[in-house]
Amino acid sequence: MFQKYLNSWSLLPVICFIFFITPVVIVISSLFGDYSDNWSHLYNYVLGSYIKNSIYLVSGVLILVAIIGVSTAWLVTNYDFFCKNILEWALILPLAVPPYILAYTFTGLFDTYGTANNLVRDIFNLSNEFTLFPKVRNVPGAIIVFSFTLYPYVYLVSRMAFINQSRSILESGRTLGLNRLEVFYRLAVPMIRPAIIAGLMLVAMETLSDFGAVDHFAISTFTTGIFRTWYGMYDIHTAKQLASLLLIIAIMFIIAEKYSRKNADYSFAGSVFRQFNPLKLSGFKNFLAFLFCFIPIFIGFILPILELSYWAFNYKLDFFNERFITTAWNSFYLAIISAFLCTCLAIIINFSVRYKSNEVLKFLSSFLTVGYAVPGIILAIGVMQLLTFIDASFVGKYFKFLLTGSLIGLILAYVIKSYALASSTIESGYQRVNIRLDDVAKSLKSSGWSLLSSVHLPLLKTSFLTSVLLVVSEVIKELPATLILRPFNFDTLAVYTYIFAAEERMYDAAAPSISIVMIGLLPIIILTRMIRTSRPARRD
Amino acid sequence: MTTLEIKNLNHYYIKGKPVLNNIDIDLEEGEILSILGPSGCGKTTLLRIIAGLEKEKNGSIQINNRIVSDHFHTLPTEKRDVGLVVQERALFPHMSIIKNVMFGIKFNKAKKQEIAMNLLRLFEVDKYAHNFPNEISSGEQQRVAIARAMAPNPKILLMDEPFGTLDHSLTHQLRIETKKVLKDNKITAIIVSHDFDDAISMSDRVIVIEEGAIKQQGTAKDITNIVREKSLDFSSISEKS
Repeated sequence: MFQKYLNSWSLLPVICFIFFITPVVIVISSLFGDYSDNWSHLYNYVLGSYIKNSIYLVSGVLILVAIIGVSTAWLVTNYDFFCKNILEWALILPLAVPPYILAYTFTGLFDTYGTANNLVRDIFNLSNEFTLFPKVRNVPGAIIVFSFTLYPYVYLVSRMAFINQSRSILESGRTLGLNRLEVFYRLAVPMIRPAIIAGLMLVAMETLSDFGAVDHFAISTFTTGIFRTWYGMYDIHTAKQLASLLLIIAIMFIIAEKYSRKNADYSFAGSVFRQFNPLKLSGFKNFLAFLFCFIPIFIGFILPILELSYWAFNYKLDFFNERFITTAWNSFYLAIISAFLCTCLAIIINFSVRYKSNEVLKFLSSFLTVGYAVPGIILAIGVMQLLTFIDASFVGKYFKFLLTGSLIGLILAYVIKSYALASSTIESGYQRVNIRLDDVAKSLKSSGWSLLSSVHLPLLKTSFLTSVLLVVSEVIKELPATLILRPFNFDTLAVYTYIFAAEERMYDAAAPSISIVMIGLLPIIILTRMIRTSRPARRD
Repeated sequence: MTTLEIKNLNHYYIKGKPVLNNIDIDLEEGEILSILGPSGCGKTTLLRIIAGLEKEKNGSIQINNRIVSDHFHTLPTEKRDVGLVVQERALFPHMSIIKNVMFGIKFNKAKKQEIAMNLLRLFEVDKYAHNFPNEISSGEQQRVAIARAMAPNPKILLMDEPFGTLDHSLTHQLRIETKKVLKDNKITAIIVSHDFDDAISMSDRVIVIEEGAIKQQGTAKDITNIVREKSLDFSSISEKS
């Protein structure tokens, strides 16, 4: 019985499980400790505003993201209009822009003396006091920033769900007297509701765990509160207690997301799929559909790229200085190490699950993917405490170095946070490898490592590369965990950008920001290729 | 000499719903046995249990007088000395035809190549040795799959619906070729099929399984006579599948 569950292939998943869960347990355990005066202060004076702002922010973002993501997905799957084939994949480009970079661009553009207001004043020869654009450093501004960078999460799942939706059901709706708009909101959207909710939960988690954008807009939320408590009040215990509350909310979103994903394809059961032709739009409707899909791409991708390029090339031509190159190199090798580590772990663990199919391994494997939902700031606190404990009880005693403040903590946090990306990519790669190949290989005396290296790895080459690229772009963007866990005098592109933006030196922040976006574009390009090859209603 | 001995084998996925019920099978060296039955009768499960890809609930299996599975221990597939051919052929897509056949052979490279080429010649697919699986037809792929399974010289060759996805004329031709190779090389084999013609034309002995239990067994000729005498309609087996 135990032999089935305990074997050499269970070892790595179990070790990972321990390392992945310990930081979270450390943070949560703080809830059961003493509550300091700082906690009373937070509880009495600021916790309410953290909760209120977080609710406003998340609600606003979810509404806007749902509108943009679902409507654009519906338009590109059901209608043919100007530039539709380009817009269809371009709609995911904002994924390459982290919210904090769009936030920096927004302030640079729309502040009183920002590029946009200056331009208007110059063109119309207006006084310096005149401002056309409203202030953006507030909750509505943050809602716009998050919505236009995160809507692709909902767009992607909605598009895939609409593609797989039964044409016959929608056409039945038409014969029962619904017009096209009614078919959309009374049939099509309710049918893909679980997929939309799953996408929205991801957006909610990303919004709640962001630090860079809300900090730049000076909005009090949980993440900025945790940071201030730790670095302002020097009270890590209270910071952990605050982080625990955020973690509880994140766990609620994780459960909702998992539950929605479980029901995600209920609407397709028993349906007959038929090929259909998208309706060709003309005239004003054609223009409107184009505009509706173009605006999110413009705000979420084109505008920040234009503004960053303008800053970079007009104000700071010598941006490729030594500091920038060192910082870029730091980001690069950290990201590559984390990506390879993550991908190798994902391959070995997914192989273990497939090879030694048992429920315990399956549970461990799926649990490990939960790390993506743990906000970076919480992960950083947990990892730091874990390393401090290991240093105090073991490493510090017997070796001449400390794990705390080393790159190991940073890499551990990146691996925990990005494992889900690597695992889901490898898992989908494995779904394309026929299980019968394993049976045959075993009968040909190939098992364990030999099966993995000679049969599976060559077949997973593309998934391996995709996973590495996805993790690299994720790690390059990661800000709060890097800020907390980086060694002294060690900067990454994200930190470099943050420091300049915090000092309002937006022009200096341009080059690292562009670099982050460009690296983030690599996996997006792969994703767009996949999007271009997936076309509506292929199944007859 | 007995190559395979299965005693009192039982298996189920849900307690109270047996998939295999008291199966006893003896197979002599060089004998070809067909297991015939409709889909869901448990014949593929039996083959997977013999191969070690699934563990029976109780009973014992001996291959070449060595216990490979009983209540106390189970040998994994790779240590059982069995060859496996599946309906989907499952050729390794990233390897050339000759590398597929060389995969299970444990000799030096030159010897491996020699054995593999001999087998490919035997099945008349040697001209495709350096092609990849997606470059040859499904019939040729099936020949390669059988050659690959035979390459490590297994004690028993297990074939699960080996001609299931091929068209009628190709199936007929492959049956003749495969039987000739198996007989010429004195290979012990079990063929699982829902096709009455497959079973009768390929094998020395046939076992008919229904609802997890052995209903009939005998030589191919015996089974054909029973079918004739009782006017049984074996096409129903195919239809059910």
